Parts: sequence; C-alpha cells; structure tokens
Amino acid sequence: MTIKRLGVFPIIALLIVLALPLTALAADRVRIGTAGKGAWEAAVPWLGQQTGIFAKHDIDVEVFYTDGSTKALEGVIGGSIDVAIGVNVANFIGAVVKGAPVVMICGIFTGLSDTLWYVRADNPIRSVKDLTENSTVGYGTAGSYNQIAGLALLDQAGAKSKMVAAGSSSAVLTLVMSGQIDVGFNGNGLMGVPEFQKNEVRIIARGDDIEAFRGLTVRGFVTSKSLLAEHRDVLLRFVQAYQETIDWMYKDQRAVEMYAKEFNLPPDEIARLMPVFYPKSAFGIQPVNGIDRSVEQGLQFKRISKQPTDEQLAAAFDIIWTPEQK
Amino acid sequence: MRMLQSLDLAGAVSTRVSAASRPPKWRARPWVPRVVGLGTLVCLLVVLEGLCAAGRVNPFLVPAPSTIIASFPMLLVEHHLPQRFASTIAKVCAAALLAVLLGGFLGWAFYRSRNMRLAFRSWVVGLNASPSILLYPLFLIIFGRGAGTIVALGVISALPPIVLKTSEGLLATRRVLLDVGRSFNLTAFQQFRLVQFPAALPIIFTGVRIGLIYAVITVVGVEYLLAYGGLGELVPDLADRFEIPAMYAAIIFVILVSAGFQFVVQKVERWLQSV
Repeated sequence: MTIKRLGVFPIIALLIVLALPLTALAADRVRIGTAGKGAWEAAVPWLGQQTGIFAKHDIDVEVFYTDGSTKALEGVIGGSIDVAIGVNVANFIGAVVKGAPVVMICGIFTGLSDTLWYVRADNPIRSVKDLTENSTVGYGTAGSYNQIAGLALLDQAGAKSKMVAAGSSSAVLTLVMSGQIDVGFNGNGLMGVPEFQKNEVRIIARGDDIEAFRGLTVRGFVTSKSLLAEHRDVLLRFVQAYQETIDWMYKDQRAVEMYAKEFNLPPDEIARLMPVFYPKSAFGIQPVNGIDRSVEQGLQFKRISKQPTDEQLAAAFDIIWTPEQK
Repeated sequence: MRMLQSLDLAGAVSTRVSAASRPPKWRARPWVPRVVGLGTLVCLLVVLEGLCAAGRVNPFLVPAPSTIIASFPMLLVEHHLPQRFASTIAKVCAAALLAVLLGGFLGWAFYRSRNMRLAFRSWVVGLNASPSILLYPLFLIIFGRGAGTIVALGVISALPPIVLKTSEGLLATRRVLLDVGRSFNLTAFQQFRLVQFPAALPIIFTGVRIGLIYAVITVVGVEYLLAYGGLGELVPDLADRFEIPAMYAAIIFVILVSAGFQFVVQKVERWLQSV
C-alpha cells in the first residue's frame, strides 16, 4: 500500500502524536506591557528570561515596550496585553472609576527614588525654587507617574510652571538639550546618560524630595478582571518569578553586567548608582500602600474624575501574592 | 389577423418590458443617495446602541452612540474644543497655503523645464509614496516642539500631489486651445491666465484636494505625536484620562472637520471655474 493510497491522515496523526509532548511542555505565555525600555526596573522581564527564572516557573514572557505605562494599561483594557507593569496607582484608580474592568494584583515600587529632574548646565535654574510661570517642565505621557510627580513637585514648591507632555526620557533629554523646555525628568536616575556623565545637565530635584510620595506605593501590576478570574495560577507564578528575578538582580553581580552590556551602559556607574536610585527596600513585589493618598493625589491633579466608592476600591485591588507569604 | 394580433401582443409585451426596465422615478431623485447613506448610518448607530444596551459589547471600549453624543458639551466646556479647532485649522490653513504656493510654483517649473521634470519628478513621486510623518524627529530639532514643526510636516506631505498634478494639468492642455490663444496674439502671461490655467484647473484641483487631505491628516497626526495643541492632542489626552466616549466624540469631530475642509475646497474649485 502506497502513501498515496493511505492518504494524508496517517501523516497528520503522526504529526499530532509528535506535537503532543511539545504541547504538554509549553510554558504559559504572559504578554506584558512596560514603559521605560532600558531602565533597570524594565530590565526584569528580560533578565528573568535570560537566566531561565521565568522558565523555571513555567512562564514564557512576551514583552511589549510602551510609551508610558498608561499605554500598557490601555493594552490590558483592550486585551492585547495580559499584565501592565509599573502602572501609576492614581491613574489606575482613575481608570477604575471610569468603569475599566481591571484589577491591580500587586505593587512594585515605593516612593520616587528613581526619578530626577534636571536642566541644561547653562540654565540659570538651580533648584525648583527658581522655577517661574514661564518655565516649562517635561513629563512623559498624561497619567504617567512622572506627570503626577512633577505636578506634586511644583505644588510643593509653590511654582506655577507649565507642564509639557514630551514623551520618553530620551525625547525629553533632546528637548532640554535643544533648549525647547527648561526641565526634564528621568525615571532611571540618569544612569548611563552621557550628558549626565559629562556634566552637561544639572540635577535640580529628586523624587525623594517630594514628601507626598514617601512610603507610598506609586506603581503596580495591572491585569484584566477576566484574566485574573480564569488564570490566577498563571499570574501567581508570573509574580513569583518576577520577584525571584529581582532578588537575583540584587544578589548576583552578573545582573549588572548583563544589563549594562545589553543596553550599552557603563557597568561601574550602574553598580554604583543602582542601589541609590533603586534601593531593594523600594523595588519588588509588595502590597499597595497609601491608596487613600493616591486617591487624593489623583483627585488633586485631575487624574481621577470623582471620589471612588469603597466598593470600587475594594474590587480594584486583589493582591495575589507578596514575598511575606513565602 | 393572427399576425396583427401577435404584433399587438408583441407591442404590448415590449411596452411592458420597457416599462419594467425603466427605473422607477424615485430612483432618479437626487435626495435618494443621501437618504440611503444617512439611513445606513442611522441604522448602524441604532444597532450599536442596541448592542450596548443589551450588554453585548464592552461599554468601556465601545460606548453607546448616545453616550458619545452626550459627551460633546464636556468637550466644548472642559476641553476647549473651539480653541483647539481654531488652533488645528490655523495650522492646516498655513500648511495648505504654503503647499499650494510652493507646489504650484514647482509644478509650473516642472512644466516649463523638461530637464527639471526628468531630474526631479521621480524624487517627488518617491516623497509622495513615503510616510513623511516619520521625519518629525528631524523637524523637531530644526523647528522645535511647536507649530513650526507641525506646519512644515503638513507642507511636506501636501506638496507632492500638488506639484505632480499641477505639472500634469499644464502639460495636458490641448494644443488647439494654445493655438487659439496664439491666434489672438496673447502674451505669455495672458496665455497662461486665460487658456492654460483654466484648462488645467480640474487636474490641478485634484492634486490640491489630495494634498489638503494629506495636510489635515499630517497636522492632526503630528499634534497627536507631539501632544501639542489642537485636536490631535485632545484625542490621546482623553484616551489617557479614560474619557472614552469623549475620545470618540473628538475623533468624530476631527472627521467632520476634515470633511468640512474638503467641502470648502470643492466650493472654491467651483467658484474658480465659474470665474
């Protein structure tokens, strides 16, 4: 009997049999959206994959770099992204108030130690006290934590300067260096930025200077309610793998070397500055602290349109895991 | 007799056939296409409203048409829609004016100089086929984050069709018309103003219309990218605030502005042809 007479069915059956073990071995894929490509914080998924930590937890991560965490949150709402990383808590509550079917499953960063505001070295502005009504302060995208942080910084200093949406950190740097805006922000402690190394820019404020953000969980992971209901176990493994990767990044010197090599940054500078801007105490899977303060900030800076109800807030946060639960 | 009867029968049949093949009178009415178009839109909106009311679509992502319409007052009051409209339309007009002047001149130069046409026409065609909006980082450095960059990119995107269609229109002027002009001893300027330009006007305006469509798209698109003033900035701002019904309302407004702009251009074309 020839293959032709047998038909294609045996071949298909053979292929199915061969594919079965592969299916059984396939890891659960999690599509994540994160802003700040090249930042230490955004390097976690990449490092976790490189070191096989995610694979160990049977997770396969697909990373989408977005222009601001709000875009990642929009991706979750639209269904193209499973988990939005580093979403500003106040902005997230603003989406919940509008009826977005999303839930925050953990916090990831406390305070604003990673954020800096700077001017070009020849700019007369030396601190936030020198900002005038004519000064322009850049931020990423509407609703990003750096916008709210910038507004809080101006509010604390009593400055009435104009906030300008300027896009990514590198776009902001271009605008500052070309004199189109006065003050730029950087959410990675200016690590590896040549202009910072050559003293062409001057830091005028740090995120830690803003009292309103001290001890506050500013960013977290957001997923859709339906995904959490259907795949809670997958998300749990994802979050645990994420934390294990962070632990490894602070324990093993190879993390700095790999990160510096991948993003073409000076490893010595990263090793020196990383603990300052990303202290281990601030960075990691954590409960979401200070939700009331985030609501206040969101209302004050018009990221939240109206006071959320207790029911809305209760449904908005479902912390699936923290390292204390080990 | 039988033959006559059959002829009568044939005549009656042919009359019936011709009556049947003739379209009903209502089909010839000029308002029919408009009613059909508008009716289709209304039907789609009613279906969408029904799907939203029945919970068949996520109202957060696709709000009901009634919610979208209800958000227009908020756009007017809270988001300063008239000021934004004025800002965008000013940039579009500036880009359109510059593109028409520059494109008209270059199109005329292409018509006048064969060498120039052969040397640069493919460049213009290439520019027409390329997404010029990607040049915005370069223009950002040259003109800064402001209206200059937006207008410049609007001009760049509108220019190619105007240049190409202007030269095409002038080259396509029928020889007999030029000969008539010469027989009246017209000067070169008179020949251009009274013969060539009117003859080329329909083709030139095809280019102008396409160019203006590009200009509107580019101006709104770059406003979106730069988050700078106007209607283009409004849409992502509303999206980032999760004001989804208002965002759709803003998008609808942009579409209406674009359609209105085309309507005005058509009116200008008809007026110029009548003059």
